[in-house]
Amino acid sequence: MESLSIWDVHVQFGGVKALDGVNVGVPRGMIYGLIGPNGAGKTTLFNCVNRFQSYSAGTIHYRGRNLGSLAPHQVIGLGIARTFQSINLFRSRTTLDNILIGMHTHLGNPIAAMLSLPGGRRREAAMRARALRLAAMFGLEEVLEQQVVHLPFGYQKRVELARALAAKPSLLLLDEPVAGCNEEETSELAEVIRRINHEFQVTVVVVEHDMALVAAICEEVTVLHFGRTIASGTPAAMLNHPAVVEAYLGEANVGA
Amino acid sequence: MLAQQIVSGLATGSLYALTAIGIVLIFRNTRTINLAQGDFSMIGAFVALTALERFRMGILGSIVVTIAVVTVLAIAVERLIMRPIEQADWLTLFTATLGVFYILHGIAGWLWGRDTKSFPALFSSAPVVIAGTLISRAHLINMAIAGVVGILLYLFFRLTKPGIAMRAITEDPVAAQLMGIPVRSIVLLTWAVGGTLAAIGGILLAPLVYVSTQMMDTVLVKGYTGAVFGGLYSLPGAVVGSLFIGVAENLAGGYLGAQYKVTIAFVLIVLVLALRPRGLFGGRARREI
Amino acid sequence: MSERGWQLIFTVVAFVGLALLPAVVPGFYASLLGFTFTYVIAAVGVNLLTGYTGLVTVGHGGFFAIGAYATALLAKHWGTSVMVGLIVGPAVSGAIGFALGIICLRLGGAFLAIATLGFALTVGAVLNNWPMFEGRTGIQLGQNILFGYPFKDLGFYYVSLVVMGLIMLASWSIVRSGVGRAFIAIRDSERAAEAMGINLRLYKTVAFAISAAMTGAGGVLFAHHNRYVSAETFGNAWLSVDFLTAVVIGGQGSLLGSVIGGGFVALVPYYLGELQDFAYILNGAALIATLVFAPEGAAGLLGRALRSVRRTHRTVAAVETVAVERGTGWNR
Repeated sequence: MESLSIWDVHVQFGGVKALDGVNVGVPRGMIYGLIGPNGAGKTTLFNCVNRFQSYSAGTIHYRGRNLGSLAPHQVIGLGIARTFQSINLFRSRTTLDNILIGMHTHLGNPIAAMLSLPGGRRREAAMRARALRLAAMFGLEEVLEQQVVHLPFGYQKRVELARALAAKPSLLLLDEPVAGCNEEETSELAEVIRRINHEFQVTVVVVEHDMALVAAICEEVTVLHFGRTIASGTPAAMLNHPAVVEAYLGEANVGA
Repeated sequence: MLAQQIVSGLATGSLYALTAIGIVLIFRNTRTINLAQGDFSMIGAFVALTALERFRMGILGSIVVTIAVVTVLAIAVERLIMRPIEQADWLTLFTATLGVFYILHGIAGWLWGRDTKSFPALFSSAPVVIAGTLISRAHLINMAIAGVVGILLYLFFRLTKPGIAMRAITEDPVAAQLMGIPVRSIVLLTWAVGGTLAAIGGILLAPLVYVSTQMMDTVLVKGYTGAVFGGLYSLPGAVVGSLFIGVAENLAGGYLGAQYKVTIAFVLIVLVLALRPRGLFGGRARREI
Repeated sequence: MSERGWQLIFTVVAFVGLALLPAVVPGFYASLLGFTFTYVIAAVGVNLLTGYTGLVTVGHGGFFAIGAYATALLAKHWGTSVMVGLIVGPAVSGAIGFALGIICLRLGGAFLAIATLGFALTVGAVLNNWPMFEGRTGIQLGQNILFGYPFKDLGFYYVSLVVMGLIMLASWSIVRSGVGRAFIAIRDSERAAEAMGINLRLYKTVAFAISAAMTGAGGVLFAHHNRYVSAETFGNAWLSVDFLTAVVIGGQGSLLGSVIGGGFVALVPYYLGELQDFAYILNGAALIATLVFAPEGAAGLLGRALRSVRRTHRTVAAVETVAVERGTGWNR
């Protein structure tokens, strides 16, 4: 059963077709990979799901809901959370604050919150308790009160993940989660992603370049090239798929 | 009557355009919203007045001295204040020019006092008949001077090396630097040109708005309104915008009442920004805000 | 003792001190401070929008004026009390602030600043030119009344002290809450904020409205302090520019910053009195110095200094403990 279905999506920037009729179907509960050479349109596709990017044709449905009519801030209400390609934390805030902001949709009555009314205070306390548990799960207890801009890179990645999970999403979009990570950090994060998928029943879609990660955790992948879907199937099948190999090799030749 | 109002509106508008061009040039090349652009003109007006009346330098001498002083002032501001913070975010740059604005107001008040002085008319306002309407000679000369300045700038950007370099920096500062263009010198030049434009604007405006520390305060905003018409990016857009403001406020004053003359520019600035933030002419993606 | 704890103690002590102040200093200081409080209130409003939400405003003088004139007109024509002014003034400026927020929604950074400047000047032009506002002649208010009782300088001092306290309390409460976090999120990253479900349009306009209402309250008190309003003070952009200066010099995103900055901008012209020109030069120099040397403002500097003192304190204490355990140092 599909939870996220992307059908025939087209995006045009001036003269360039960033997405040219992309089809992706993500089954519920799966860890799904979205791969392809640079500029293939992977992040653009995420931006479409998030509604940061509008598309000229096609539809995107999540659990039967058409996303096309939503504003960007409403997407999380459907249970879709995401991380960003370059770390997009709230730099001046602490780790705890970042996670709390992730829970914004659980704020309840904003007036009660602003005026510190009893109901608001109770809600705040509950949010904090949950944030602390989430932080503990990601090993962030030591750095709760530190400004995220001062944290080492690996910790920042974890905060981004914790923040994305704060709103209890059912779909998690991860945009290059291990970019800039070394081997050890990559396998740690792979394990974390697997746990998230398994323990919280979260469907995960991963945009990634790192084939090791993709092979390790993705059950199925779709390959994009120049804004088109060129293949989809298991990672193993993709590594040997002629069109995929050509797409990647082609890129390597251009660079040579 | 209408024609006269339009022409006189175009005349004042062309003077606003001098401020607007200075604003756009500095913004394009340095991401700086220069709040002190008007005060450069104000200082220019005072210097010219002092040169004319205290030192009896004659018109030409006063003009030369004024342009020299204000250009040096602009260069000093760039070197001493803007250079140390050149890498900072736009708010810091903007607030720094606000600091300069305060300081120039204070210095002017200290040196010349805070009352309003009159400035001798440089050109006679004897009316000239053109196409059946009476137009003040001073107006025509103002427009002509502004026009000449515009043409000179155009040629500067098209034909001279520094001018072309400036355009390169506007397009893509990183690429320009990689190609060996001395960005810092060009930035200095940009401020210098801004200062020169301000000096000319100050001298031409002085007879019209009288000389005082606050003479340029509203003109600055009108210059910004004009500049915003071009999205703070397009020079022709800024010129058209400034002319439009000049005409609009004249017509508003004439047909709606004097109290609206002042209001219209400010209302326009809010409206243009609200409705078409990229300006009516500037369609290009701007680097940052 | 946590940093929060120290801040709380400091604030309570400060307010108690201020409450007792008139008993120990000449009455005229009370008047001066009362006047300063109105600037602090305005600065708190500006800081909420600029320091916390990241929307730069050079137009809050307009809201200050709206509050001032609202109460001035009411007091002059209907003899209303300060209380009425404090309700109507912020309500009107808050509503106009909301409208301005909507108008300026799509504007980023510098363009927003220019638009707000345009707003302040529009208000100024209206005040200068529309007959009902009496332009430069100004409007005289009668005696100040609160709950039916007339009051003068000392009464005004306490009224403004209480209002300042309430507004600071409100700002503090908002910033600590999820709403305040949303404001700060918008400043740090609009994209990420939207991904977290923060409705940018709603929060930006609300920030505008609350900020305008707060500054409007300051304006109401300002009018009652002088018992006179005229286009001389309100008909230009100086107040707006002064408030932004206060926030930058004092420290963006900090209540203490609003206090320091508001106090500085209010008192400099007073103490330099005749030498208004030097007041301008000093303001400008302080502004530039802050930007170049201490961008986090005076409050930021203080915070850094205090933290390094505490660290030194802790280090010294740690060394002493070690020294005692090892039998070295003073106890040999």
